[in-house]
Amino acid sequence: MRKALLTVLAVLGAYLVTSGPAQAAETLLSQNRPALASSTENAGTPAAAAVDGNNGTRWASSFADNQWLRIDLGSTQSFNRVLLRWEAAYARGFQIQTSNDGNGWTTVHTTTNGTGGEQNLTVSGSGRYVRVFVTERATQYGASLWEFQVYGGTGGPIVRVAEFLADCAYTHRLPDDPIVFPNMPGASHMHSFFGATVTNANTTVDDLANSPTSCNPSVDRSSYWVPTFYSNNQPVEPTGTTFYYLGEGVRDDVIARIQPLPYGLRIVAGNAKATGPNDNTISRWSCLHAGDAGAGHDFITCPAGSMLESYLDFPQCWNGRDLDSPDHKSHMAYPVNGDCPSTHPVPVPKLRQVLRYPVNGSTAGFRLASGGGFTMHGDFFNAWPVDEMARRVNDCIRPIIKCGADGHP
Amino acid sequence: MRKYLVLALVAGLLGGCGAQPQPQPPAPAASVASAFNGTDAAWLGLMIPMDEQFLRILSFAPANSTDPAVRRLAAELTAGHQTELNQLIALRDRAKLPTVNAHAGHDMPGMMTDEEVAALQKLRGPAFDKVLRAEVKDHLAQSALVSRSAIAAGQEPGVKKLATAIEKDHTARAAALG
Repeated sequence: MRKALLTVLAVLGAYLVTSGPAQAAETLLSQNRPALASSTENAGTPAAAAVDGNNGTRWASSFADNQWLRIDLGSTQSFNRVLLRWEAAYARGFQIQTSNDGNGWTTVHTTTNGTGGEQNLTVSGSGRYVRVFVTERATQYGASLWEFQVYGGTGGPIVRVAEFLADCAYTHRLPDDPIVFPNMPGASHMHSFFGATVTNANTTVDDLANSPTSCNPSVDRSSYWVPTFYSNNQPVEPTGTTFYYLGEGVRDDVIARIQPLPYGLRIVAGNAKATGPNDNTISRWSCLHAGDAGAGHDFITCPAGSMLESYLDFPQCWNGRDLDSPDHKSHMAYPVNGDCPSTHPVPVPKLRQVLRYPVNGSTAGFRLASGGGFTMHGDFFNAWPVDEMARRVNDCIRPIIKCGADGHP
Repeated sequence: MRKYLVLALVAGLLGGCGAQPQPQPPAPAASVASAFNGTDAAWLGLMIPMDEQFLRILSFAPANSTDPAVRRLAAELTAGHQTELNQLIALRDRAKLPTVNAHAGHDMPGMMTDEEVAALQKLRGPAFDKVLRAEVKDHLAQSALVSRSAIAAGQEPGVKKLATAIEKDHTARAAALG
């Protein structure tokens, strides 16, 4: 049930992303939330005084470095601004840290030469707990705050879906496939490419790393391609081109240990040997905003005003060893019962390719360069910079937080 | 196979340091498995189903064509392609490549779809000859094209030798057809 719910949320999320929700008003997340401090100077300077909205009451620590004040936001929240109103006993060095469990902390801001007063910090973080950790006092006294405020930008709790994404518009067509037919220009049926603009039959991961890209975010230099779609023998390119990276498909405890997709990984997904609609169980067609039109492995007749859309989920279990394999598939596997099989023990983000074609109505004139709708397949050549992929896995996938193209909630 | 992939990766990483684009450097080691690179494997995996389908199509000619010249052409091509296919399969076995056709069910350049093959089998006389001649030209052109890639980017000597022979033969045959 949970998995089904997550799937529904992911699909809903896809719609929300497309429509581009406006940034809601800023919200003060920390007011009157439970606060805890490593120490207090006396009974008149409790931790709660820093989150009560009253600039006449304050928290003060014992006269030592390495003191902290922690706020419990109640649930995992994303925030983008922190306000500190220091009393005369301010901190020269401090960090803003977040945690989901109150034990392990991630530093999202560091100050080493603070001058006290009111400090307004633009930070980006998420977590249930936020704390100020005083590394160096400015005076012989402790650290003392009139107020410690944490602000969120979207005014609501974060969405509990393990997700980040890249939007990569169509770039070009070639009868090439650098995974299946390396260095063999013209050997393949026609492909439509997304992301890196240089991809051709000879492309290596280094070519991709140096390529311009159509992707948002532009740090994603990966290449994605599919057989070209034709309507009455005219090529039609998708106008919605989103590549989601998801945790769903495995249990939450498996999501928590998902590893970044390795740099240079190549995958072909979809049933390349499909000879009929029932051979291809991974790719599916449906209609945008018209779910009642149904879904299936072959083209769907979509109502007027709708768009034909293709969903394709890539395998999310890696053998931990090979960036490719002779059939371009067997180094990867789909999960079994919510976990990765022992042959492919490394869980990685699931790439979900969602393409929306500006066509509807009768499917009679529709075909793919590879054949019928059931021959839909996708190729992925990973060229995300290692650190960018790792950050997104760490910030979005493992803690199950819905992030956008920038890799932030 | 795994070894060649690892080597290909290492080669790719080394190749990325140069300022200008460069062709795939040859793999540094020479075990049997690593002798075949990705292009060798892809060429074998493509040429074998291409030739298998082509031989099937040619086999219709004795019954479906009434033109002695077409029958003679089909017989010549059949003999040449049967030899070629045996050589390709021998190389595939040596490379320990999977025997399954990874492209089955897909429209591929130079090949007919299963539906088109079934339709051709029902044609007789000049109607059959016309479609067969078009497919012969398509097949010869596409197999010569991908063989040129194997000559340029392939690695294993047996592959390069066979690709060279096929490219020469198919190009000459296509030219003779006009």
